[in-house]
Amino acid sequence: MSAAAAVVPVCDGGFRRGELRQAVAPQSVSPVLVYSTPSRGSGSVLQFHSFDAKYLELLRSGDRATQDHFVAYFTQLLRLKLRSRVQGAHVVDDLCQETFARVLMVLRKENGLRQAESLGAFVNTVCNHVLQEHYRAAGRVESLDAEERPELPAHGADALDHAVARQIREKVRQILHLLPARDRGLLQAVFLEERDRDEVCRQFGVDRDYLRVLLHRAKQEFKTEYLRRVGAVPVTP
Amino acid sequence: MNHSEAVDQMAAERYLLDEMSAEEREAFESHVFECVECGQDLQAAALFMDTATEELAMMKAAAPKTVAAERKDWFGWLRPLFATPAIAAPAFGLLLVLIGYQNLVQLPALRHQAGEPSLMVTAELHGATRGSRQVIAASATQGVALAIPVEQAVGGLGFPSYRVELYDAGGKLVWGGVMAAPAANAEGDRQVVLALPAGMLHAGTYAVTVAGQQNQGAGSSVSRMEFDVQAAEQNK
Repeated sequence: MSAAAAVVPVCDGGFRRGELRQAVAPQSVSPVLVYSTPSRGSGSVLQFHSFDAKYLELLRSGDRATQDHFVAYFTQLLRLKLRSRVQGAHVVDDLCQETFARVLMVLRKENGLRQAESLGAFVNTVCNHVLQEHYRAAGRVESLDAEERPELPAHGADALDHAVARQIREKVRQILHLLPARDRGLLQAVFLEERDRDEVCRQFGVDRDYLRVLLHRAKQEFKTEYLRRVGAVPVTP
Repeated sequence: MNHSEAVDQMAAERYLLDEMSAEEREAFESHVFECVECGQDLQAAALFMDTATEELAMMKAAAPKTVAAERKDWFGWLRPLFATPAIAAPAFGLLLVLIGYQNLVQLPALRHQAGEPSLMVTAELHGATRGSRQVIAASATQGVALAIPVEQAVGGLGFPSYRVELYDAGGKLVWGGVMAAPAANAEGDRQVVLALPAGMLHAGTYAVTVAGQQNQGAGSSVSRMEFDVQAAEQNK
């Protein structure tokens, strides 16, 4: 393993948990305070707003909390981006890890990333490069992988601890129960049964706009709970 | 794509519902990696979709099964027919009319008819004389009352009760009944009257049998009296 490789957080998809590509011992964790705006009513959880210089500095220094947040935040985005482009959850996981490894490698270089605000765009760019290399190397490797390993569904809750996952599920259940039976049936046909969207809309007598608005409203109702449980950065005292 | 465009177009929903072109996807992904608000919005929507899919599967599995109950409904095919107002209303109306007619017209008429006195032709039966049978005229509109001398029929012996039976020309039993011994008339004879309603007797040979019965039910020898029935017009 290269001495330059830092501790690479696992792109947690429910497998390969705890595996690290480590060559260098992590530096000591810096004192806390990631952001300046405490959230309402809670002194220990702050709301994440943007990637700034301080965030970048903590990431470079190997701060565990920041690193965990960085991985958790971008893992979901990378998986959403990749799952529509490659086959197999294990392939998505591999590409995620490769993306993180390359990003952190660059960040730990002197002047590796000059503008903290471009961290997100940088991650996206690196992912695109990894993806292109995967396409070029694809064929034999990808098809074998697709045949040998089972397709695992995307679980947005995999990175959440059990308590948070239970609360998230309870919120979703509540939202679903409050929906009219027709709307619930519509979501079931689209999400669970994975039927053709146009056919489902015809059956239920709605158009694609209705489906989009239905999902939007449900998401808006869910988002408050989501941000409260998942979107925050824990602060180490 | 900038933030306003992403919000106005509900880009997160369109992205997850696969409603974007390849160029739109690239543009949105570039924005969403840079914009924390849209990034969190997309993640919230994706998490909701994934969790909702699992919850909907559990709801579907927990839904009560009604197919088995429907299969056992043998008359289910009939029910919708009568559940239709266009059919059920006239059917019930017709039933009400029939019930009303029976209760208000037919039954009272029958009760009245049964309770009304009626005139009947009387014929006293006696044993056939040598070579000829008794002839009784019968009409389709008038009944016949047959006076049967029961004691005389059984050789003058008195019995507590008598059994009387009527047979048609084919030997088929038309009617039979038991009656307690009547009081003797002025001549000392004991008679019972068998009232035959109008239209019961047709042209032909009939027979009446009389048997005296003891209290224990034991019978005596049976006496048989035959007679010919003619239409009343022929007898004129």
